[in-house]
Amino acid sequence: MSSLKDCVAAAKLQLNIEVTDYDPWFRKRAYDAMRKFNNPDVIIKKNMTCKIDSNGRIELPSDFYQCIVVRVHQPHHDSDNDSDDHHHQHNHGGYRYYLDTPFFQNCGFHDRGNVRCGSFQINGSFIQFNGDFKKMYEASMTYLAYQSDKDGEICVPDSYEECIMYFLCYQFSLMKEKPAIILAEYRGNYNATFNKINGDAQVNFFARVRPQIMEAFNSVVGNKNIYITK
Amino acid sequence: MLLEKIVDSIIRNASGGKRSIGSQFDPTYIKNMIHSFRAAKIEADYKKNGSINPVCYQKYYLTYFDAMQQSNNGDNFLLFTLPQVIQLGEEDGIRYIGSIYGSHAFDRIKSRGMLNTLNSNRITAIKNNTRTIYALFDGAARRLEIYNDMELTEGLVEGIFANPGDVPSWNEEKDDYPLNEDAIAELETLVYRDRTLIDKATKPEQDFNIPQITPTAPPKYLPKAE
Repeated sequence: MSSLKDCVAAAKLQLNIEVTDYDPWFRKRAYDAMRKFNNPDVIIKKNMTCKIDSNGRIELPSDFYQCIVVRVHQPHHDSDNDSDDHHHQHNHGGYRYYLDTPFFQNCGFHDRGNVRCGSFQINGSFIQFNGDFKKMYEASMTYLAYQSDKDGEICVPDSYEECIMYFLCYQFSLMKEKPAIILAEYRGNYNATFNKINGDAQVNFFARVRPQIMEAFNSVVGNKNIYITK
Repeated sequence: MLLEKIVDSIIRNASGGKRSIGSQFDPTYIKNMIHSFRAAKIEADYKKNGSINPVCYQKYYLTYFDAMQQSNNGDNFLLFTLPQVIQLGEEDGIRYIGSIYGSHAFDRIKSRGMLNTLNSNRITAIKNNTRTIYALFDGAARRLEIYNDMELTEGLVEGIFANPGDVPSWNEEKDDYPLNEDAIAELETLVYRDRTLIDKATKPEQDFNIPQITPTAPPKYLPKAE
């Protein structure tokens, strides 16, 4: 695995840029390019503990991909505000759970079990909770995130590095109004590498699900065993 | 070549080595002229070739001063002083800001507008990238702001400064002038020509070597052609 920092360095070498004036711009564009792949192999599960502010919001981390569940800790003994007693009836040992139910339903889970859930919306770079948060509550969130190395840089597979490099070169040349022939060269290389990676991902996916396809196919056909080769 | 030798060479061209304090070939004044033309020469070469001779670079070592830090900045960044730098087209003269050993470059933020733009985005917000150190050069206040590293006590800035004498690591009497040798000859010519051209343009009557021709005034009313 290489990181987005490697991709930025490769693009800067290609473009012969010696200064770090454009590095924040490069990092942002590399992040955008990485999101285009939508490859589940680069996504892992992470936990985060943070405070909910007085507006009922949590700021999302930079490597955020998808929220799974948020657990909000509510103290039992709170004599300052009587309205909190109403919430205690719906607590599970002092915790309130928030599930991203549309995401779970998309994944095929329609039963939430016995967990009583509150509701929330992801609003831009925040998670907005629909509850009464007059006090600072502590929350722990489990979410899907991009892999990162020991320096905190987001990781990508090695095969992505060249593609992201060409994407950065194309975008930088576009910003600097380079000649059309250079733009076309970078764009062509980017499209070629991008399609190759996506094609490889499709082949790998097909290889992974081939036994299931064969089993279903043979159950429909009957006693003839047909092997899918490609 | 030492700066003193460049000054001496220019003055010898004009007055045969006779130094007159207070004139247009005053040594201190010529030094300032040399600094200005050095900046213009480097910028012209950069626009032409896209590169800078490494001899032109200077190293400025950052030093932490506790009294310089502001108490009301929210403890978000550290402040360091930095001399004025020259401008190279779209980029400025700073080529490196980073660790003192020169191996780790900080990310540059070009302006406060760019700082605001970065903070407006979740991915690029400075507080969300705590492992990345950012540097912002405030040219008006001539100070450097370092973000995301509150324990930094020293650092290195490599670049092309407007006045080489502002950099403590450069000794005017011992170190060579930070300009490549092939450009120094052109620099001397430029300064000399600039001084003499201004002299002729502003005071033409004092130049007795050029014969002055006073044109005769035309008649107010031309005779009509019959």
